[in-house]
Amino acid sequence: MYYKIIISPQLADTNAARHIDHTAIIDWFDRARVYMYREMDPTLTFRPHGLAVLTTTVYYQAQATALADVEVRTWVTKLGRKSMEVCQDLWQDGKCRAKTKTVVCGFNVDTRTSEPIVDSFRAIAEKYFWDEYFE
Amino acid sequence: MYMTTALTPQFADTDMQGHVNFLAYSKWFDRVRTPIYRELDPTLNFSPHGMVVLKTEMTFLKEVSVTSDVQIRTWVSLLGNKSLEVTQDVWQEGVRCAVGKTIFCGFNFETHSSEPISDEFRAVFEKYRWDEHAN
Repeated sequence: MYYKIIISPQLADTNAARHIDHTAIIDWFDRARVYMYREMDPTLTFRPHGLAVLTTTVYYQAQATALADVEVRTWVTKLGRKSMEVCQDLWQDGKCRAKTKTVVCGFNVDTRTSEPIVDSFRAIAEKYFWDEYFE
Repeated sequence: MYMTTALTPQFADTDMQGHVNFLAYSKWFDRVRTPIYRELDPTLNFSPHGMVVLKTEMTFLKEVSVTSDVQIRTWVSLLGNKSLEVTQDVWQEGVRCAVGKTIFCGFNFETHSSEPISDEFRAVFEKYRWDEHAN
């Protein structure tokens, strides 16, 4: 099932269009994923077994502002042998503002090559597995 | 035709894995688009006629390090009535390391709704139009 974090936007997240800049939203999604990374490796060194981001796609659906806190939900939608897909959405004032899909693969930091996702990571990812997919 | 911009990665772009973190790419892509934004509206007010980001997608092909500069190419790959796609890629030491695609649409900041791309904006985008698969 998904987990949820609350973020308070800062003024530096806004731009001259008076809304949250799209790069800040990419940043927030990564910030939310850190909670899962910490469970996988509390030291965050990920050596030698780690994960690498292959693609990330963000869909911006409505403007977000710095006027209220935002909520980011994070869950796992696909869990393969070597890669997994993480879905996230961003809510403000009860309205979904953005969604993202990120594909990560197992990565050996010593050999700098992809590898199957290790079992201990898989167990964490399974905790957050939720069959709620979006196009 | 595409525009090429050289950038010097900064140490703060790296993460614990020793390589440039994926968030830096979204900032780089936005940073090198600034000259185009300035051509669209030298004041960057974009009021009432502006552009907003609908979708960003980044694919990471190879790690980037801070040991040498990167070159980023930027071009308009699709140009429709209301929206356009900007494609960008990051090169380091002659190797293509990442590709980013960003979809923008015309946006009226007074009515807060999408609108067709104005002729003035279109003229600027036409200058950067390029088809990487044409040759």
